Amino acid sequence: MRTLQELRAIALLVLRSWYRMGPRLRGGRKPEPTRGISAVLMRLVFAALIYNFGFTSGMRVAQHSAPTWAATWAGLGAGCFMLATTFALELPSARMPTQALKSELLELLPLSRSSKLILALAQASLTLPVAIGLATTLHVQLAPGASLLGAVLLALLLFVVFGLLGSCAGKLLRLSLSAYRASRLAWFSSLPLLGGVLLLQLAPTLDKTPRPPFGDALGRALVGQDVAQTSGVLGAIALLLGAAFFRLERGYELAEPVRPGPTPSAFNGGVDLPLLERVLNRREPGGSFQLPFATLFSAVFIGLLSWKLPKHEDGRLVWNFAALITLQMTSTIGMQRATRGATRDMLARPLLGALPLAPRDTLRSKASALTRSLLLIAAPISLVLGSGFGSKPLFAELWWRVAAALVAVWIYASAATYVAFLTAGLGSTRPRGGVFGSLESFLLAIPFASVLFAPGPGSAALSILTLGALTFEARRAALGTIDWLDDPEREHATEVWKALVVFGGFQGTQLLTQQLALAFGGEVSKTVKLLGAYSVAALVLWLMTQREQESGSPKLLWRLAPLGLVAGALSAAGAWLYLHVLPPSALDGATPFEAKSTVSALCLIFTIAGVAPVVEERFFRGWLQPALESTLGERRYLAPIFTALAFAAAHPAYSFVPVLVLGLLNGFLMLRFRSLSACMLAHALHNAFALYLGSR
Amino acid sequence: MSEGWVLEAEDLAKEFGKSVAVAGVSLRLAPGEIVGLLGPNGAGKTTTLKILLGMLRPTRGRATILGRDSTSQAIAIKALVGYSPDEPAFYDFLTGRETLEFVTHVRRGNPAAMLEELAPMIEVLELGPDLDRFVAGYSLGMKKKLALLVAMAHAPRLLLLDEPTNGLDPPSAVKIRQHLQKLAKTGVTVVLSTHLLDMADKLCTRVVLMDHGRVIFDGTPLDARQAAALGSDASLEDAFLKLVAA
Repeated sequence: MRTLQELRAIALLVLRSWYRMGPRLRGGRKPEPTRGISAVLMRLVFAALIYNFGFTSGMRVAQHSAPTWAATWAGLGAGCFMLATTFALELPSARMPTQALKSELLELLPLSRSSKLILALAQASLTLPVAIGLATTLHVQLAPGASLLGAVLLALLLFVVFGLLGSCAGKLLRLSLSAYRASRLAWFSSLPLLGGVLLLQLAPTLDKTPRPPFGDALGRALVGQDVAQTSGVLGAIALLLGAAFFRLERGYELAEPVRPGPTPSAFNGGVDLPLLERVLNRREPGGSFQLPFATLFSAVFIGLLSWKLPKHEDGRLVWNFAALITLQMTSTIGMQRATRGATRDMLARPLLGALPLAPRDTLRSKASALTRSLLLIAAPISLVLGSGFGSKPLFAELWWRVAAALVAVWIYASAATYVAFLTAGLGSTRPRGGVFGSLESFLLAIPFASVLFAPGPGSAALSILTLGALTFEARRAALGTIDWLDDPEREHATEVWKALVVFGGFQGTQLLTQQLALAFGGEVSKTVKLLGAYSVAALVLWLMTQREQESGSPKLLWRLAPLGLVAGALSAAGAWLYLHVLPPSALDGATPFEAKSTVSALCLIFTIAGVAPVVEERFFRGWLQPALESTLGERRYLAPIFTALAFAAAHPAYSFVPVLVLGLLNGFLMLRFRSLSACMLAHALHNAFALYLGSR
Repeated sequence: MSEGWVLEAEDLAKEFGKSVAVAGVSLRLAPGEIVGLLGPNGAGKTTTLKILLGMLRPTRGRATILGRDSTSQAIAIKALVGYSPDEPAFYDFLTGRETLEFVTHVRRGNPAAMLEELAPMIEVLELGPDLDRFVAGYSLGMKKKLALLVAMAHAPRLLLLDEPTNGLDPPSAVKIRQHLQKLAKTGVTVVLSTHLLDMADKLCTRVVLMDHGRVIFDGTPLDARQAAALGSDASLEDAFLKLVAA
């Protein structure tokens, strides 16, 4: 009975931690911003984005010439992800208050081994959607007749096996070494994490995937063949590992991973904030190994790729691999280091809060330390430049690509520092899922990846600008927070930053629903699939904007509707003119509208000229612009321009200019008349005209 | 405001949502005073100290420390005042010595000179042998001692100490009390929040009793007994209990 009660309490704790995990908008208008539909939606969107990682990998595996081999490697990749998490959690490391399921209080409780097993797996559960995404996608794509339950069971077993494997390995190390020595090995968890990411991404991409030496039973099960057999084997392994877990579990160790004996001062030659950052980074568990290892890893991989480049027919493919490695290494290690730095500041808050530290100095020193580290890891990408020297056109392309990548890494390092500060550091006041459990990191990842994989220098520059603008706002939000960080009454993120995070959620939902619709939409036309995906994302945006509308200033003033019609007509005329001066090649990426039946035509009109104007205007003119206006103060006349730029950047590149014009017209309408209805009408008229042009 | 006061607070109030933590505290402290901020748990002592140091923004009222406003000039105040928190925390992977060097750098002082000046205090607190170990390995008492050293490292004219002797062994607590008395004689003003009434009785020249965010008594420990209609041989604890109950 007691065991049951304990298990129930642990289950409740796990559920509560899931509920509290992930992105959350602190709002001054509602006393409890963790409740409410917008907060829950944001968390669901984030979980969906993690699922998306396995899903995209699964889609590419399905198209591979040897899908079972590729699936085996991808399955192992997903497993490595889970293994890395549980392994790292077992080893003593700098305490992380952001992990709700690993606190000193829990360590002191006399919990049963079953409870500890549940806690260990629940800690790693953030990675479970990757395995589910991979297994279910492969089942649907390659064995449509097979039961999806089998796929979910397979993913669960994979999660338990690898999770327990990581846990047991960590426990074994902890039992055989001192707390200090075991903590020094915590950096080993970077290896399976990185390996997992690369396996998931590279296995389905390589033309000739190497055959796994231990056979492809796992891959066959993942694509829907012999699921029961493999599940049985995995289940048996899980039982064995469970027994090992019970045997190795000796209670938590509260010993601090500290080097025994005296340490000479690192500040003999003087001390400043950047030196402090470097010393702390080096001394924390794994800190002295991570950077050299990551630099060596990217140098070896990119070096090998570059060596192959002159012999390869398509240099761009090699660039894509180099960019992928750089993106993964810098974003993973960048966020990890930034989180660690932010967390240790939060732990030392009683000391820092009483010191005369200017907020901008704190942030600057952290950002500059991280920039240095990330540029070192990213530097090997310039090796591809040398290897493209033989081919003049390729060399010219690689030149701007390498430069853009290094600039993006440079900006990203600062952005990661500010985001970590807001989500895991002094700026956050409650436990969260860490910086990885945030939509903020996703918001930054989009423009960062867009720079590295940009189709041309122009779009790379636009993505760099977007990344820069996001970084600027993240810094402002971080600075605004630090001044009164002990004050729960104080708004902890700027209104603009909150709006941007919500928009990140909208973009993420759109990306995911589009992928799902295109993969599973069956015979339905592409236009209807995209419309459906957009409608779901629009609904999410509507709900997430709901809280802001309750007390927001812009109102629906219908008597000003004629103004909207005039603005819409002007903007539509502008779009028509623009289309006539545009070279035909500019429309290459455009998806033509096709409505084969009356129903799909009506859907098209309803979504494009009805849903989109209402939802987008509510967000851009109803929330983002007023937020910018209050930020800009006397220069509030600039708010419509910034809003219009963000509005245009969120649309496809070929429609950037007409959408910018519409955004400017609507922005000034809002600034002058505070009427959301006029903006919605103008937008509807513009979109209806665009629909007419697109159907021709 | 008069220039003679080290600290002046007028009608300080702080509300957290619907709960009122501090409900109009006014104080004036002269140089050399040792003021005990007493009161039951949740009386608003720590919140008051945090407002004075500029870590919290008051809902109402204002405070000036050494002529500077604690809301708009918080950074300048933090450079002048020494503060020891109730629950001290540091960077785990700095040694005690490095922590003191870092703090001195932030306050634009000279670390070598600071360590020399603090040497007697380090000896009194018996922290010397552990100063070169990582703070992560410190006990609560050692962290408290380090927090006191951090507060005193720049020889401030005002010390705000939140439960300074919590978690300390009795000999260390006595030594700290004696040191604070010595500092007060040189003109340093000390404000300490404590629930150790015996220590407050022996150390403080003035006690400020708080309850439910308000000051319910302000005077010498002897006056407190009189206000509670007790004799001079009664303990401060009895006076405290009577005043809070009233």
